Amino acid sequence: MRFPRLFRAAPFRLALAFAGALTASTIAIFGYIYWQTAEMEIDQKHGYLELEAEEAIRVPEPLLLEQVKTRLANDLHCNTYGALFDAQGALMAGNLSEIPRDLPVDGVARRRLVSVFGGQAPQSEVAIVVARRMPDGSVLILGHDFDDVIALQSVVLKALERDMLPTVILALVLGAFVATKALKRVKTLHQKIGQIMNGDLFERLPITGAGDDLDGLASKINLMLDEIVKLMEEIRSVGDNIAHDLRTPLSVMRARLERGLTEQGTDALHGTIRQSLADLDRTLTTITSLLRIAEIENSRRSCFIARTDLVQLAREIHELYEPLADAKSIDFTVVAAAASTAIEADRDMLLEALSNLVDNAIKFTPERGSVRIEIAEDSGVPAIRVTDSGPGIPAAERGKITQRFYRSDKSRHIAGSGLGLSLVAAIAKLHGFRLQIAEIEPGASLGLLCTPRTRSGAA
Amino acid sequence: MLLVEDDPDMAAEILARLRLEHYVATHAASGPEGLAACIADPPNLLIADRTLPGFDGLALIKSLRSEGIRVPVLVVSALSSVDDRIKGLKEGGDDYLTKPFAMGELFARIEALLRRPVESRETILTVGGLKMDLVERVVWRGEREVDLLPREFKLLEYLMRRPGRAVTRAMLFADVWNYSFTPRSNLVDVHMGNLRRKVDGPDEIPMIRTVLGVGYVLDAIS
Repeated sequence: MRFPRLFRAAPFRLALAFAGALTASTIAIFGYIYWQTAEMEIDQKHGYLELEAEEAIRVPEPLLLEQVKTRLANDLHCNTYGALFDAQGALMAGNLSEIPRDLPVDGVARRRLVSVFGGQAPQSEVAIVVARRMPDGSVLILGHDFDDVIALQSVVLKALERDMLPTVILALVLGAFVATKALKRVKTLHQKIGQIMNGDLFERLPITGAGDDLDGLASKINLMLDEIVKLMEEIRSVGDNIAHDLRTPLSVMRARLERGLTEQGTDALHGTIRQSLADLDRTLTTITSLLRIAEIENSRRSCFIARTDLVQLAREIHELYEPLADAKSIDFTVVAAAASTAIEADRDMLLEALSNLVDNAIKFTPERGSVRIEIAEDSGVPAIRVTDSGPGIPAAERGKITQRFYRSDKSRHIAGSGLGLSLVAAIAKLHGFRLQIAEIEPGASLGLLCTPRTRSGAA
Repeated sequence: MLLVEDDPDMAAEILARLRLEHYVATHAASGPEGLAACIADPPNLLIADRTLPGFDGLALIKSLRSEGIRVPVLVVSALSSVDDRIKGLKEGGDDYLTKPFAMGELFARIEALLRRPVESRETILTVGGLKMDLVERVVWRGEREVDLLPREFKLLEYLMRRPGRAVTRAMLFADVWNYSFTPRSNLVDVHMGNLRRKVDGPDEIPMIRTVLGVGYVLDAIS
């Protein structure tokens, strides 16, 4: 299982590709070196041969014959050719059987096929040869074979061979090493994720500190897990709170109904039933609110998002709540910086959110206090804010008030389900808006920062 | 009328109450059964649960409409009204009620659907001693002119189009304010309180009556 997995690992494949590229480039480099060296070698030979033939002109014939012989005798490796033919083309001395037919007698070195006297019969060989007519009409041919160049070729090839194998092996070994290391990390991540999937939610993925992409991924997953744990705890506490919030009125109801059984007279019985119904309605309202929040949180819909005027919205809510504020002699006003402030939102939902904020503000503000709806731009972002002169929200509780069922200690005596702000938060989240709780003293100030939606989709 | 409801306890309870209020009601327990009953004998009103075995309440309405049966439908459901299709349903003139509901709410809705206000071209509404001029936007109680805010005017108009019939707070909220959500119920009470103080003078017989556990009724008293 280990090897196939190693081969499938992305780093190993990368190493393989790298080795391939390395091989190709090495071959190219060696090829170039070989080509350049061989070229130079051949050029040099051309030059020497031409020069030698040139100089031979000044040598008298008998001496030249000697020189040709000496030259061949000194050439132990049989790399050179030399021959002197008389004006009729008969061989006077040397190891070539005839003047190559396609070799012009002009003193320019060329690559030609020559026939050489070996030990026995003449052999054809490729060589660089130059032919030059001497002053007395004879023709001198000098030549050199390609053995040097071939030797150079084999040296280069050998070097290539010697260099190539270690390069490829090194690349593969390095690739395997890196892949194994990466695989090992991935394996640990796999194990940890398995552990987390099995319910060990407080386990976290290891961060090596290398700061690479795997680390980045792991830390992102860790953050995600933190968020999940937070949400789960919230849900758990919501569950506890639901149980508690429902059990209390239900217990009261149960006791009352039990007493109702012993009740004499229809009026008393009706009173008991009526009270129980009111309790029941309260619990049902709580459940309905919870379902509504869940519904908003789960809905991804955005088809009712349209241009909505915050100022008009505020005036509408103001009209709705004015009688309620009047009844408590609360100074209730709308303060708008502009005649209209348009945003993209679901009008109904925004009304619901705003109504919850205003409802809370009026509920918590004592008589003759003040509640203000303000519409302004907060660093270019439209914002709507509800400020009241009530008891305010202690700094320590500001993070908690949007949790379901959370009720400030100061507000326990005021009727309510503790779900209003959760609903506002859910609506804000659906729109990609931010619920802001400003730190003011005294009183409370809650606002929606209506960040424009990006066109890519729902927040 | 026909009740299509799959939960036997809920069905029995609603039927018992309907009969107590002297309505004649039959019962079907599934979508197909309800559709068959409607085709065999079209009722005056259909009360349908949203979730039903066979096919659901909305599919039932669709089938009825395609059969050309234009019976008013009241959809009852445990799902709340955020659903987009419900908005369409309400626009079609039918109604939607979320479980749990008070029986008073159910009856008010039934009455509203059975006796839809006639869209008259009259510009003057008269209920008992109350007269409303829809063009001049003025209201008289007998000889006394009643000075109303725009919202109070709308509230009174809604009541005057349904004289003698109970309207619930939720109905007022949905129809007068056009809000899809229901804020605290006493909000409507505060508005109604203001309206009532203006319509019913201190020495006059009160026309707006509170119906306990249901809502309000405008009685035709001169």
